[in-house]
Amino acid sequence: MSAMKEFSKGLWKENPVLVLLLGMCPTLGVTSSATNGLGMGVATLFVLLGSNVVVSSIRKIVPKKIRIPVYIVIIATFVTMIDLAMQAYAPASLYNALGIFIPLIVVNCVVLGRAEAFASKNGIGKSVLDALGMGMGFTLALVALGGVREFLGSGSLFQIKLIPAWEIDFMLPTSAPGAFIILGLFLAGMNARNIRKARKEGKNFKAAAMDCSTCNICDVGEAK
Amino acid sequence: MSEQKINIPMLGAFLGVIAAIAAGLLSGVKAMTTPQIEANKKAAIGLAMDQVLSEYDNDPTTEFKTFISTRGWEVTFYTARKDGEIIGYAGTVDNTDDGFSGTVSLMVGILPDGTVASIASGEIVNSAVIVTAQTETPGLGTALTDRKLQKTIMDLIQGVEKIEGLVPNKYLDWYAGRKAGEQVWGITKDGEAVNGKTGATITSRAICEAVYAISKTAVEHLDELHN
Repeated sequence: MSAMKEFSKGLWKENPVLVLLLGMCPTLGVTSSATNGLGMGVATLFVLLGSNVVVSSIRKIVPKKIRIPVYIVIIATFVTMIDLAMQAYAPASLYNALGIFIPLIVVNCVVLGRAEAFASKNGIGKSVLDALGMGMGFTLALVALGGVREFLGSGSLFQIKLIPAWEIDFMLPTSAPGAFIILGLFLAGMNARNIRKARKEGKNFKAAAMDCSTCNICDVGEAK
Repeated sequence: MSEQKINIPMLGAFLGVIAAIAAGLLSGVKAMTTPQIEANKKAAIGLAMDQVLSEYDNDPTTEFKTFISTRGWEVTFYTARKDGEIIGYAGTVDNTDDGFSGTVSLMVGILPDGTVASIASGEIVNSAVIVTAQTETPGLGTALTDRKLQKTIMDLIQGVEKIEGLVPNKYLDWYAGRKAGEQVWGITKDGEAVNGKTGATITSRAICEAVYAISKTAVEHLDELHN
């Protein structure tokens, strides 16, 4: 696979949120506005980049049996660094809005998933491209979801009112049920597009299922 | 195929080394960011004070007294002076637990006699009441707590600069000039003076109780505050 493909697959074809359905907790939890989605996405991008580089560079010396705890320690270290850095340098309103979801990046499946499924098997260069692509894909999906929710909720985008007469907020899209409904519509659109594309090529399309067929994280201890 | 040998001490040592490196890195980052985080916290208090007090020339964060209100809350008063004379206090409560989902923290500018101060920004007169931290329902409870500057797309296109200062909020501004013991306080639903939002009774009541507690504590402890 060429370098460009390693990078671009995360943006669209293997988008972590819309195709792989990973990291649903921050996706639904923080995207009540486009700004929050952007903050969360960029924080995750940095963690992903750091963990992918370190995991890839020590992949040959980590004993297979304890690789998951090692990855978790590495990811937790980067998350705590980002947490402290945001507390110190990010706008207070953004840090307060993201709150508990920043420490929870530790258990974000996108990060652990890329460490295990990609960085532990590929070189540093490829892992950096993979992290950038996946991180930006995650950010794009979160900003899109946050933007739609914010606009439907209060007629604004990035806290700027686009429809000045819209004075009373519509609460459904910015609350948790609205997050599920709008994400569902996003996924339906994504699947509809993929089904049409597969039909044109005369193939059968199978939507990403919430099962273990696409995931190899659980083969802990299986000697190769 | 031979049985793979598990060398537990070896694996433990490896994990220990990784954890030690991580701990070392983190303590470095922590040491680097702590001064900035502390400064941010202090700046946040100072910023809130600028909003509820006007024309002071001392550093109120260094001169404060804490009392316990009748509801058992800790009420802290920061003293604002001009040319050595007391011109008011910034009263804060942090540990109220009356909000719809947790605590509501407020800072209220208080005149030396315990009255809730008002702040004029331009032609608009607001009460010196701000909510510094809350976790109320977005769009419902937050209508009572937010003084958020609304930017619209027209402002951006026309290049309009919004006036700095307190943004009006009719629920919070209602408290301007009120003093505990002189008027009836409370929300409509409890059969008292008008100040509350339909659908956000709990939040309305929480804010009313907190502002009242600050004013009442100030009135009760006026002598100690002046010294």
